[in-house]
Amino acid sequence: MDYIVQQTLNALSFGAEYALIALGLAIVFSIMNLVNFAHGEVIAIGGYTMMVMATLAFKNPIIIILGAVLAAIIMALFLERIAFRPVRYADATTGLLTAFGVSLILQNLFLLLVSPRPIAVTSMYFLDWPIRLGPIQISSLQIFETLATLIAILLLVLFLKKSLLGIAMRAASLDFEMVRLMGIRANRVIAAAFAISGLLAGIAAIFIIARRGAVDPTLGFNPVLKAFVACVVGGFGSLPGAVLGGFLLGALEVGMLVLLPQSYGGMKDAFVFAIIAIILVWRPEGILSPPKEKGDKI
Amino acid sequence: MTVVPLVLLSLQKTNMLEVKNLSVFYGRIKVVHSIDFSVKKGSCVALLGPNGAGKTSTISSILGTVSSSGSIRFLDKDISKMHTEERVKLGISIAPEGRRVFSNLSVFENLFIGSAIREDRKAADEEINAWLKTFPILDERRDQAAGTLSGGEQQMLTIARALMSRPKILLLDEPSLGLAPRITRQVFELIQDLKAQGMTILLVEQNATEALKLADFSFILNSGNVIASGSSEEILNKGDLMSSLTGVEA
Amino acid sequence: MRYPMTQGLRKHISGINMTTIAIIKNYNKSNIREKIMKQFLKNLSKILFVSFIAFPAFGDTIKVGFPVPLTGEYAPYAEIQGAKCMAEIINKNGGVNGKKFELLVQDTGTDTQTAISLTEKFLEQGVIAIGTIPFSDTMIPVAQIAAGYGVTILQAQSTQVEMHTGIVDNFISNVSPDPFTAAAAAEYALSEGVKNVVLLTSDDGGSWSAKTPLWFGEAIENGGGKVLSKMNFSIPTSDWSPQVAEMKKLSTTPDAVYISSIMPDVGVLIRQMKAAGIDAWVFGSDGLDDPSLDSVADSDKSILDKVAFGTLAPSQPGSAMQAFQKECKAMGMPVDGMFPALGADVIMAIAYAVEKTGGTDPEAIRKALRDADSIPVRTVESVSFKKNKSHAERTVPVIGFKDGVRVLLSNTIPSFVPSWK
Repeated sequence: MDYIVQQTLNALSFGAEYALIALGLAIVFSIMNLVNFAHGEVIAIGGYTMMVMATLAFKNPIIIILGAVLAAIIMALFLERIAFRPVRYADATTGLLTAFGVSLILQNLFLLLVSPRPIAVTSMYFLDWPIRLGPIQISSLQIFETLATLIAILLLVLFLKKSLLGIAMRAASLDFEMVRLMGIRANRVIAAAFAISGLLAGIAAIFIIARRGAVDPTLGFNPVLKAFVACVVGGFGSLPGAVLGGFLLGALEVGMLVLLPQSYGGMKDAFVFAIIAIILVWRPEGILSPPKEKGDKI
Repeated sequence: MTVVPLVLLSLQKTNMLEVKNLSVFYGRIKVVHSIDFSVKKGSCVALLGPNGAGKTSTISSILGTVSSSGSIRFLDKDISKMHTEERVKLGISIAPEGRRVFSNLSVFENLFIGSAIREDRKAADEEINAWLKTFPILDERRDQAAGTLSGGEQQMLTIARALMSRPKILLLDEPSLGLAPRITRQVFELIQDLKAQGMTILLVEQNATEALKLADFSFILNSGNVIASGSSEEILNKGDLMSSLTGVEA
Repeated sequence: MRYPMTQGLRKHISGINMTTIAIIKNYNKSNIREKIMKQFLKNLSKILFVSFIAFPAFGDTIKVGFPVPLTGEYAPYAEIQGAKCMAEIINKNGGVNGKKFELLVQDTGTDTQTAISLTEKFLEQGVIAIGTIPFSDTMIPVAQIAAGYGVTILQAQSTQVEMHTGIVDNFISNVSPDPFTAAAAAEYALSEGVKNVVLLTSDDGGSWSAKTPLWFGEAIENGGGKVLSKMNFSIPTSDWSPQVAEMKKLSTTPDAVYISSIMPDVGVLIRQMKAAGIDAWVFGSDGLDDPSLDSVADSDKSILDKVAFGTLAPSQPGSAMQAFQKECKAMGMPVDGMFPALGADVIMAIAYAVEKTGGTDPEAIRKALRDADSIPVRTVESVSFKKNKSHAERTVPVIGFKDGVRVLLSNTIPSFVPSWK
């Protein structure tokens, strides 16, 4: 029983990380139909910023955290400006390829400018200490990460429900042109979406670094692939779908790791994806696919 | 000899919207061919014509959502190079064809986003409440997704949303499309009310009978050209033209 | 910041920095945007497809080809830094029999097809040996092409067992295959009284991550120990809590865990095991041999007390490798980590064979390498290919930590190596 509770908590914390990253993908996709694979490199920028700040002898963790998050936001906005704005009205494939290209270029820049190998960044270790609840053991990091994800979701929902910009972003996910016809600047809405995705990437970077204690060029790319799967299964473009998909993927991964006999262990991912495939047969658009219907364009 | 320019000048002054030599393109295809028309302040002008005549393209070009050439002057300013958002801020608002309410937003949020460009938040909020009072059915569904409203209710919401920005001119694109006759009447009553309150309106309609009742002046489009214009009376007198183009018996 | 590259490359990169700034400054002037984009791409291509010859040719030179991964997934394993530094050292001292080294280096971007094309190009330019992407799916086709020219694939760091099954004859690895590192680690573990072990395996890194733990287990069982459990993981893994929970569930507490995976992943495992109160050794392979492992002890010196790994060359303070790295750094040619440093051995082995044969005939070079009883190299005293032909016979160091600092725990040729061919 304790073991089941323990592994359930582990699954939750896996899911929280996927959900956090998936949200960053979903918020951009919902507005721009852009699968931003470069989101991982925005996370990596957060990590490399922490590395640079540590070398520059910044000690205060709050300043390092703020610096990393700020760097991620600026990076997200910068990428939107130089890479994604020129292809904003191109079809989805062009956007996808652009994002892949940007991701590849950035990974190799990290590799050439910093190092192909992991570089230690231990300034976030302080977030991680063991907590024992009877026979259950969790890490403070698991709690922080799950809490941060939940708070991020809550604040995001509040923002999207209560602020004009948030409402405009929701509206834009359905009918961008009509939002412009309300006099709301397209650039502002898109920049807001990228800034939020950058913020989420920055937060994710803090937790990833706190756990891994090192940065390397693929720091963000691998988690983003997982988050992409989470978005697909949850329903691409749906924010609740991204969160649900993230937690579902976390549960599936931990479940398969624990339940599969060792001799089938190499098939873990195959089983995870088989289950996801079955879900997609049942709901081809993902579990919580966002509303698609649009009025006729003018 | 000097009288003529003066007259022109005075005409120009009262023209809120003046379109000259307007052509509209979809890619390389020209769908509207160098048309001229104007809308005087406080008047209701109708663009009539059959399906595919270029009415919606014309109205879209005024807000800059399709590419066009020629001059579009609004309040004596050339707006043809402006972004859509800037044109809206100058005081042009649209209730588009197909209504295009934000179906994933609540009724309230639809009205709220309609007031996006306004600075006077408090007055805008009061106005939202006033609209909700005007249409009790919208008030009942204040917090429901607008997608759950009926077609007529959505049309009322679309017009109310367009008015929330306090426009100087209201563009109405096929407000009666797909509505039951009883609802259509209600919509036109609302437009009549707006006109009575002094709102400048550019109306695109296939339902020429109702449109002509409202309009002070009409332009008839066919295949991207203005083929006739005049007061409703003049248009109705050209009976053959009307029936052949719009199916309305004069 | 570390720059794992040469001056030439660094120049290209400072060039791109300037351009990037120019882009940021001028981007708003949209009429020049296209021009800037072109410039940007041009500069980028300089970096990504950088092609340069390290040393000017002086007539009769010893050409060695390196179609290697400077970018992409396997870039961490490139041996270039050490090879270049060693070549420079030899050249400065007058070369070998008056012949100087000329290294032909070009980036494959971790792509096999590119490696093959570059190999063909280098072969035409007369290289006598080649080092490439250290994975069998690249090494095998590259070796097959090089065979036609009599040229040897001389790999600084390849531990893959697939290369020693006789599939190609012109392949020589400067190090011992994975079973040796696993066996050396097991030998040390047994000497520490380790009995019950848990093996973490993954199919994601081929035999290196899937079988090396099993060889470790075999060597442990050969010494009277027991494999308690095998557990799966993926590469990469950044959270080991499910596996750690499974370890806690075992009825017998493990004395040691073995894993062959990459950093920083294993660092996370070490910390999570410690946090969970599992007081077991963590043994590993050369994948742990990365400076970022040392940083795990930043906040707690004792955390690495029971961490050790069998690796390819000793890298503790005072080792030959560290002396080499220091020398290179002083020359302005930094060599970061073990894999780059191993490049030095390849250059020294070639130098030995050139001297021995008095020429640069590639087949004679290969024969000389395989005939020698002992070839002096840089990261260890000497290697020999006489016994194994396709890989070196050399001592396998086991590195551990004391107060967070690397110490050499043992450095022998393991007496029991599980059968692996």
